[in-house]
Amino acid sequence: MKNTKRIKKSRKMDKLALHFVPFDRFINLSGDEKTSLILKQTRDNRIIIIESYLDPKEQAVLITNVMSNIDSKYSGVEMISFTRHDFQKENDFMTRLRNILIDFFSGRKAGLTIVGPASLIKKIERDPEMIMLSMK
Amino acid sequence: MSKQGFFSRFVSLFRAFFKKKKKLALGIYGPTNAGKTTLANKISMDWTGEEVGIVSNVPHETRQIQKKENVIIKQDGKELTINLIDTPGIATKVDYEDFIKFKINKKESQQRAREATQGIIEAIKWLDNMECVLAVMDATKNPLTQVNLTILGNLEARGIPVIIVANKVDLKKANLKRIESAFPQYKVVGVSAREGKNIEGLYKTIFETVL
Repeated sequence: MKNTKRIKKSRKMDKLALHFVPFDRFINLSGDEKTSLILKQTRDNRIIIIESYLDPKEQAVLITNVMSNIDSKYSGVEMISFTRHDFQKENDFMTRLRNILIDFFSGRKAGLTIVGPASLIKKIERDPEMIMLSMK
Repeated sequence: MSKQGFFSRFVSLFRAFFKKKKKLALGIYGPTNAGKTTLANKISMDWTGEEVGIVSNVPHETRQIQKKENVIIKQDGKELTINLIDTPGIATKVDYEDFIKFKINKKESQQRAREATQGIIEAIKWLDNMECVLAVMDATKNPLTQVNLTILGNLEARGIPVIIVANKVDLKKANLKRIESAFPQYKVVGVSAREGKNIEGLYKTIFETVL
């Protein structure tokens, strides 16, 4: 009985689709294109993983657009966006300087963003050096 | 997140210099059910004897901006006139079925969900009108959530002074140190808005921040 339950659970997890967006592609998108991409993927029940950080204003725009799109089939998203600095607080001076220069010349803070439909993901938390996704 | 440093202090001093006689727009932001309206009511009751809004366990009870204007708060002989602005809880999702769990019928739940989404949009738009913000967090919960990070990041980007209010410190599970260590660059004040615990400490911090 226990085995059957595990198989069913694993089959359910097999259907989980992850859409990866590399840094180079993401930074070339306009603000509207970024939001549209995230909305499209999450509306299609996919988790989108972006190799970039969404700055606070982009996060606010995304939340606003998600709210405008909520209906009986789409209840919103769970998300997390962070930079490498959020996980490397104990760096020495040279490492921090190197990271600042990389961010400056690339024009953007390197990081990661995970956004998934609220119908699939119950909660995403940072605790504080681990990302935890609680699935529904 | 970078430190709330020179730029924020400069903006705050600039505002204080030119807008000394003006009423301060004090916003209350946070995720749902953090106790924003309880805190707004406590502040308003202390100085005007009137409440701002209805408090409930049902998420998104506050679905519109609620204001209490001309609230005069006093501390050590100083006075500050504020427009207290209680905002709907920020969230990244709103599911009408969450309201049904509170025995609200389907039609009303769907209506509440629609109003809640509009409330969140309105709360985000109002960020630009704020001159100081109390970012309310539930001290019994993990503070490193995207909603908290988005609120703090947006306030920092706009140069708006912010005080983190760690609410519900009267509860056994409350962990003030967890919030302090998650956001070492901010002023954190532990309070219980419901019990009135350390509200005086919050008033003191507001004065220190804006004057």
